[in-house]
Amino acid sequence: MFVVEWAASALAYCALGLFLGSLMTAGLLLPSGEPAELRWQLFFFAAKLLPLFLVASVVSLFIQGTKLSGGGLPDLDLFSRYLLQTQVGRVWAAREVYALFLLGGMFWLRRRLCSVTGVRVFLLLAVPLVASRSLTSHAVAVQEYKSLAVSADALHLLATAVWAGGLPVLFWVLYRGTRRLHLAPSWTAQMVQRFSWFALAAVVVLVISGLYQSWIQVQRLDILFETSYGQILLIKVLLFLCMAGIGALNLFSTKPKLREAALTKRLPNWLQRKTLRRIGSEAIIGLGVFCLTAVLTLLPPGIHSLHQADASGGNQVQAYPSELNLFTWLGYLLTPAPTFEPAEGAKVTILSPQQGQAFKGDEVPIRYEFVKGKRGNHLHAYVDGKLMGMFSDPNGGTLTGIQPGKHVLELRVTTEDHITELDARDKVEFAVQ
Amino acid sequence: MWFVLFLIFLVTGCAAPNGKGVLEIRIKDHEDAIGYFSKVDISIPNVRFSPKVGLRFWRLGWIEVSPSVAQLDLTKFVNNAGIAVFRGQIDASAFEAVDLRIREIRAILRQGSREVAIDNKVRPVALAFSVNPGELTTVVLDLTVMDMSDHPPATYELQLIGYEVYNNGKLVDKVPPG
Repeated sequence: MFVVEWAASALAYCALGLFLGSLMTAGLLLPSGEPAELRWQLFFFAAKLLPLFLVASVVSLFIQGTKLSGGGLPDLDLFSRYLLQTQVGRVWAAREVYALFLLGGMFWLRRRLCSVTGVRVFLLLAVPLVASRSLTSHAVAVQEYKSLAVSADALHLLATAVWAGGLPVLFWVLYRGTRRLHLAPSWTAQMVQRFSWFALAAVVVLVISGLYQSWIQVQRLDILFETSYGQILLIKVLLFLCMAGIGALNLFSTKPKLREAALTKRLPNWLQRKTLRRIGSEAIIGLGVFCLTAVLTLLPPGIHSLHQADASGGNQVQAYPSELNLFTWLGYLLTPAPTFEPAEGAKVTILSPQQGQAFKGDEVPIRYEFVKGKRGNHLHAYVDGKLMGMFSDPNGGTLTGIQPGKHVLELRVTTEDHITELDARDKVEFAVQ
Repeated sequence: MWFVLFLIFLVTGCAAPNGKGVLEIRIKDHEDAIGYFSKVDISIPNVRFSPKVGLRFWRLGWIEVSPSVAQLDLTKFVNNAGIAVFRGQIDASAFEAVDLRIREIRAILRQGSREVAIDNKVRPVALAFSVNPGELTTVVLDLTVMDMSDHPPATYELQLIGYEVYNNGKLVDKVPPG
């Protein structure tokens, strides 16, 4: 099931990346939109990619329905509830309808679209289709600065589509232009020159948005090395670095040579081959990046998966990697020992017991002032360092089973996950006679 | 030259002392929700220790030992000295983590005598201790059953909430401190 879901997701990513890449090449990269033959081929190739995206999305929806129905065949009622009542379902439906309209428009208007402007209009219309994937991404689940997280994700997707989606198209266009249509070297040089500007801008956006997203979805180095999400992300970063390396080679070696060839009006065969080889290999890695992105969307984000598998009840005990290898061990070493997280407005003050107060019996009533702040949810009560209870009552509660003797009571504000304790604590000594 | 000497010094500095010492791993349980249960049987397939690696990263890996008791009832070890799940002679060395592996938990509530699920949240923990030649090192792992039945995830959880390390009966480390 996971493989089918991944394949459908990867297909949808590749289809949309190539869709945007084709329209961008046809509308912005071809010098003066020429040759027209290539422009129209790209435009129709883009139009053919939309049905592929639609089919992949329907397969994804069906798999989602199968999962929701516990592995059985999903019924219409389930689909209607999913599509109408969930955010993911509503966004899915909106994107399908939008893609259908876009597809219809591209076929209906194909005769009238004689200018480059027409292609550019569709390029503009393609942007929301690609970017709206972010509305169903992990970024939506972020609690703080959600709109920033979703915007960063959308920019990341668009930049990936421009760079990784544009490369295979550039490869095909250069191949057609140089080998079949025998266009002038200046045309090839201009194409590569224009694409490199877009690629450079995309790399800048990818680095900034990628770092930000990694921070909010992974947060800690041990998560990067120990969770599946983190490991896939690492491979994706490695692929990105490979692409950036080849891109730098093109920028500093291929591009100047093509410029020289344009001046001498002679494009030698070896330079053609080298250019195609470098762009082709960069394009293949780019498609790999799409496939890995598809895996990441199916996995729980790193920070979430760590919460699921967190070892400790309180945050005083530091987790250690279960699968021990150099990467997980380095991740552990580079992870700071657990500390309390910022209070962010949360506060607790113990009103009773008062300092040194004595009680009879094993029950100790406690009263406190509790301000939840931004993230606080309930209180953990520790007696002599041992967790003795949890209180969500705003005013107080009762501790039971307290043995005779002197004790230290500590209340800590804790978040909903029962794991994260905030730097909002209060402590008092009391005695049981 | 100095760098090489420095490396040799570091590597040999981390070398294990010769001889054997006795290591004892105990577990104990706390009040919390255990009082709701008439029985909480856990089975322990093995206990693992991770040697302190330092610069000798080729030593990275777990040392696995068989437990002295493979199955026990946690309700019998509440707020007392607990039970030794491993005791044996091992090569004197420094360690940095312990993994108490729990395979199966079978719990029966007092009320209604019905069987309920307890999620195992006990995972490997960073825990520095040394076994010195001819000495006894005791590591006490504090387990607790938490009642999460009134809020998500609406179940009971077995957690490791702290530990104590003793050297020849003298407390040398305690987490959380208190």
